[in-house]
Amino acid sequence: MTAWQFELKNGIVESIDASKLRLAALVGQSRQQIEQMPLPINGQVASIGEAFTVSLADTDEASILFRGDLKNVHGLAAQHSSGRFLVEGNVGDYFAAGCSGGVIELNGNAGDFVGGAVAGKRLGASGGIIHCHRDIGSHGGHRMRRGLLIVDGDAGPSLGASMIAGTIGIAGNAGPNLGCEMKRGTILLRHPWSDEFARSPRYSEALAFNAGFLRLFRAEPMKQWLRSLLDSEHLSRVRADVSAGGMGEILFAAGV
Amino acid sequence: MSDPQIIGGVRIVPTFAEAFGMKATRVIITAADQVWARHAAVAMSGFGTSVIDCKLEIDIERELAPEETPDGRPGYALLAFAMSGGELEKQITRRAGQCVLTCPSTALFGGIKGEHAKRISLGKTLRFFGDGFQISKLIDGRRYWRIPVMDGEFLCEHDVPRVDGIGGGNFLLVARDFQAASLAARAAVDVIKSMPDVIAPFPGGVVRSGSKVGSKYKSLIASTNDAYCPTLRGVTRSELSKDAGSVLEIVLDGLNFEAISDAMRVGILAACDAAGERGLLSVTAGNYGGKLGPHHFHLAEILA
Repeated sequence: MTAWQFELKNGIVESIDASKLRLAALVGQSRQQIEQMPLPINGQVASIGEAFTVSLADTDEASILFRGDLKNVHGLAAQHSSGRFLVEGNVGDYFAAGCSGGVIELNGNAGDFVGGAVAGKRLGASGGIIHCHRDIGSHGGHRMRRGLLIVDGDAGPSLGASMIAGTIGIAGNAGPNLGCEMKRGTILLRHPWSDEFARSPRYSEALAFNAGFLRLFRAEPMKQWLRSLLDSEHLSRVRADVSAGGMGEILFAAGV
Repeated sequence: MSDPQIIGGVRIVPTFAEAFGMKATRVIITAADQVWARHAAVAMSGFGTSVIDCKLEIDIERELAPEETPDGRPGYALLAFAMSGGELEKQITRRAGQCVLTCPSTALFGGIKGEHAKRISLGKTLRFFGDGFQISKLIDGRRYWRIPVMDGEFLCEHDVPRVDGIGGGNFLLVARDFQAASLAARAAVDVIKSMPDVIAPFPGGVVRSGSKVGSKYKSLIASTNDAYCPTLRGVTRSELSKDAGSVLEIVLDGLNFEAISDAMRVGILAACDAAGERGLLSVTAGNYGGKLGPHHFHLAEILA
C-alpha cells in the first residue's frame, strides 16, 4: 500500500479545485507522474506539482495526507471511496462531498457543503465516515444519502439541509435552519435544543426518546463521540422537517 | 470381538447416531431486562422441537450478558435449524414477527460471526409492519431497521447469515425405570445446555417419543420407534432387554460435527455418572443403517 502526502507550497493563495484528486487516480503512479497530473488553479489547467510538494511512502493502509493552509482548496476528499484521507489544516468548500466510503479526517476548519453533493450531482455523501475536529461552514451534510458526518466544533447554517438519510453528529452549536427540508436521517446534538429552534414550525414537539439504536455504534470514532449522549439519563427527539414529511429526526440530551 | 464398553456400570452399545445436513442460523434477542428477553426467547423457541411437523428445530443456546450483545443489553442466543434455506427463512421470520416483535422492549440481531454470502431476512421483511414509518440505519456496515411500536422502537437487523448445520445427533438412555431414565437424561442435558454451538430442542432437552421413518399409515412420515418401546416387547422386534422399563432420547442439533460429538460425549458421561448405579442400563443411538444422513457419530469413538 502507498501513503501519498501533499504539502501546499508556500505562497499559493489561488483557488484550487481538488475534487478530481482521488486515491484511485493515484494508485500505480510515480511521484513525477502525480506532479504532472492536471489540477485546476484559478480556473486554469495547471499541474499538481505547481501547487503541492508530493511524496510517497510504503504503508499498511492506503492513505492520503494533505498539509497546509488549504482554505482555498475546494473539493478535497470529494467522492472518496476507500482508505484514509487525512487533512492537517483548514480546507475550502465541498470537503468530502459525495464521498461513498473510507475514513476522512480533518484537523482544521472546513468551508461550506462538507459531505454535500459534488457539482452536477443530486446526492451528497453516500457512505464513509467524515470526522471534522473543528468548525464547518453552512450546508454540512447537504443532500446526504448515507454515511456518518461528525463535527467536534460548530456548524454553520442549514446543517443537514435536504438530508435523505445517514447520521450527523454535532458537538458544538448548530446554525439556523438546522435540518431544513430534511426528509429522513438523524442529527445528533450534544447541545440542548435551543428556544430558537423550538419556535420553528419545521420541528415537532420535543419528546423523550429511547434511542436504543445508538448503542449499535461500536466502532470509533462514533463510539467515543456518543459516550456523553448515551451517558445522559434522558434523550429527547424532534421530528424534522415537518414540512417535508417529518421522517427525519434530531436527537439531543434532554434538560442539559 | 472386543469387550463391550462399560462406563460407570453402563453398557455402551457399539453403534452410531446418524445425522443429516440442515440449514442453520443463530439469532440474538435482547431486551430492557433478562425477564423480557427470556419471554421472547421462550416464545420464539416454542413449538420448535422437530422439523417433522414444526418445520424448525430451535432452542435457547445460552443466556448472554450485556457485554456480549450488540446493543449492550441482556439477552439470549438461539440456534435454529431447518431442512432448507427457504424453510429456515420462512419460519424464522414468522417467529420473529409473532414472538419477538410483539414482546416489550426487545431487539433482534444475527449471531453468526463472520461474513456469509447466504442470508435470511429479518428486518428486511418485518420492517413493513412499520407502515412506512420505519427507519433504516446502516451502522458499521450492517443495516438495521427501527420499527415504531407502542413502547418505542423495535430494533431488528436487516438480515442474518445462514450456515450449514447438522441435525439429528442423538443418544438413547435405556433404564430400568422412568426415574432412572429421567435422572440420567436431566444430568446429560444439564451439562449439554452450557455448551456452545449445539441445542437439544425437545422439551427439557429430552424426547420420549423417539421415531422411526415411515408408518403403516401412508400419511405419516414417522411413527413410534417400536423397537425401543418397553410395552411392545413380545409383539414387535424389540431392541430392549427384559429389565429395561424406560427409554429417553437426547436429540442434538449443532453448527458442526465437533459441537455435536462433544455434547454427546459429555452428556453420556454425565448420564452414566448420575444414574449408572441407579438404574441406567445402557446407552445406545439411533440410526437408519447409514442410509439417511452422512454424519455418523460412533459412540465408541466419541467416548474413547
